[in-house]
Amino acid sequence: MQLMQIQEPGSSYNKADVVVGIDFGTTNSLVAHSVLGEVNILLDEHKNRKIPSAISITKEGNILVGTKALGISDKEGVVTIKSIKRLIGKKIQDLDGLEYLKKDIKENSAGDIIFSTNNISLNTVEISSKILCKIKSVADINLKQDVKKAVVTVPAYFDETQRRSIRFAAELAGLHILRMINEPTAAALAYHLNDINKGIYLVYDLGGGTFDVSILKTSEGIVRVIATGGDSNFGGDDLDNIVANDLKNEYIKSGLKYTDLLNSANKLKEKLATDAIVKLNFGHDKIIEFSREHLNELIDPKISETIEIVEETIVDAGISKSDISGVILVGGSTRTPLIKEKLSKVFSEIKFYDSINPDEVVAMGAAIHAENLSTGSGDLLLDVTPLSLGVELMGGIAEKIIHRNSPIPTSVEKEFTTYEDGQTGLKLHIIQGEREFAKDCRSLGSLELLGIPPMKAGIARIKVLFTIDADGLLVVTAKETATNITQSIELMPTHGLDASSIEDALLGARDNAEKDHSAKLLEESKMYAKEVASKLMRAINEDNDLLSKKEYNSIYNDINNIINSIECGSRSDIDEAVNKLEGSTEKFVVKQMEKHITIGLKGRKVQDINNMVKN
Amino acid sequence: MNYFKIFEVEESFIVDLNKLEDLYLKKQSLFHPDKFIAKDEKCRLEALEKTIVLNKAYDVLKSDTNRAFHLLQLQGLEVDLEENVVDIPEILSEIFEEREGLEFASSIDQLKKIEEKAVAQLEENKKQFNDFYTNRLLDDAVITFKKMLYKKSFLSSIHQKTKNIGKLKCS
Repeated sequence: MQLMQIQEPGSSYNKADVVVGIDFGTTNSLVAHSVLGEVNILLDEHKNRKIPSAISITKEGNILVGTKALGISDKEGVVTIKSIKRLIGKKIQDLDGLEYLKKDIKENSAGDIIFSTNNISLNTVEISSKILCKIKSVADINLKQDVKKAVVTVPAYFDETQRRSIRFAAELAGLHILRMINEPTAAALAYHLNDINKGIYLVYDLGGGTFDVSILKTSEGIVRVIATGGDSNFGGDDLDNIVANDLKNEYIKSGLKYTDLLNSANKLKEKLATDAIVKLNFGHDKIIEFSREHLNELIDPKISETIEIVEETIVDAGISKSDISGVILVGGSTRTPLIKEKLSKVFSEIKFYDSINPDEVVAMGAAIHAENLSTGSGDLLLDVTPLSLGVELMGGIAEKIIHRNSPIPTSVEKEFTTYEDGQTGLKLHIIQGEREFAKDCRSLGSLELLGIPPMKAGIARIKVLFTIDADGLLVVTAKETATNITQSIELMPTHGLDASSIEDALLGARDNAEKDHSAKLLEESKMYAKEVASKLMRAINEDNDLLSKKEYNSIYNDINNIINSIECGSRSDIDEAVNKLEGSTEKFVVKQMEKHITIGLKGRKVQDINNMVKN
Repeated sequence: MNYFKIFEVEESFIVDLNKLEDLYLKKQSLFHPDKFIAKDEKCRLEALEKTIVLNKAYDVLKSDTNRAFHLLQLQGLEVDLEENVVDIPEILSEIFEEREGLEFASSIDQLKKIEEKAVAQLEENKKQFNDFYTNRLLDDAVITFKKMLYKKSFLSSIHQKTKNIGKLKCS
């Protein structure tokens, strides 16, 4: 007799599989774990709750992440990259008006943003993935296991490309995103657990690099977004920058660096949240008094813009101001008093919710949702898509197919036809945004349907199904109904990703068997890379008479790169590092072989591994 | 697909929106993909599809015009939305007058008055639609439906203009 296992819906989850909540922030990231609604923010090795979203590249080409990255940022020759979240999924032209973000970045041939320094070139996905990898290791150490699944938050106003890039960066870091949720929604979930009840709430979320507004309707067991608005190009960073510019002249006189200036501006802004006046010491007995009024004057135009977005979002939600029972404040920058002042003017006598640390509330919400997903219980989150999706019509006009603020998941079918006799192919340019012309919207990619049988113009019936899933990601399928030719694409952010990473990503999308297989290959790559690294390390130290100082250093760096890639890299990263070492040690190995004859370290084996990877 | 059946509510233009919302949320709690995240892919896809239909059904039933359109569809009528209401001669002059009135309105107060009138007319249209539909006077129902559509678009023009005037005042 076969034993049957009886399971409650949702309880089939492997209990050993923990799911963490991650707030991947512009300035700092947090990782949290919830057990029975008790949320723990996990600490890094320096006992910090916040993991700085920063990486540093040393002169030698070593990469440090998080607190360590900031610790060495003022060392000579060290390049520190911050605020990567403001750049991920974007192109340089998206940063117009934010000139200070363009420092240190370049464009590669595909027009993608890359950082290239100290012989290391990294794109925005790779940098984000290094940070996510660090976050994962903090979770691994705290929870004493290999954490593989996470709920990751993104700004509500993030577009398709930005969302996909984050998902991709997480996969590269070995984290499967079980669900991607919007930051303001996560915050509302954290408050819904204890503080708020049935009603309509507005979340004002000013993060380091993004601004979101979400209006939510909550009831027993449900947190539902009814409208979202925002600006993915404005954040607390910009307020610091405004203050920094105001202090520029004094700083130039005192001879300090711009990064120090930004740091001081940030500290000044934070101090003015509690003090009415702050004295600044520029050295040489030069002291300047900076008042909160002056700060308010400076940032007023920007804060007013956010208030306008708040008001527009209320209109979009189809409600009036008086329907709103409370405003939830999220993001460190909401400590700036002017924000509360302005919001109080919009909503008279509104209750503010800010009792949960605005820096931590998003991570807490993510952790709560992670627990809900793994137990199949808890509050249900219902969200909307922030931006309209559409296609480009003849003449460059944008036709909206899924309107913004549609509840997700959702799908809409549209029918297209050919416009020329005998036309056998149809190309659809898929776009996202609210503007009237396609060129002003964000281009997501093109879908080409080939093999339409030749017919008179307007006869073919091409049905295109646009689906937005529960993560807010788009899948487009096209079908010619006369012939039933079907094509489906999941739009990939092709920019910034090399072919092997895309291949890895596609591998990840297939079934588990293949996943296990690729995990096995990764393990093998790692084992081999370790072997090569340790053998060569021994060899260059034993036979350093065969190497010049420069050669020695270069090989030493390449070995370090391998070690880094083993700790936190994809298979292609590791293989690439091994290949690079192979190149740089070719001569040395020959010399060494001549010397010892017996040791054949390199060459074929790397090739073998490559073959194995391909098979 | 009959969206009324999905929520098990009566096939009628009059719908209790609060009750509909409750039903929608109850069904979401049962079928949402988050509840099936640990299941196999087939289950997850099924949940996704069910939720998509739920969202669509709710979207249709909660809006007056969408609901009216769906009712006509269920009666086997193909209403061509591209074909404008201006094709109905008897209300053409009325539309003309209204549009002119909106164009010459220059104050928020004037716009408010126009809006109030339009809202009242829309309410009247809804009542008429319900009567025609209930008595299966479908030709009249279609014309009234088109009038409703026109009034909605007229209202959004009023809102747009109100917004623009508001902005001018601020700057």
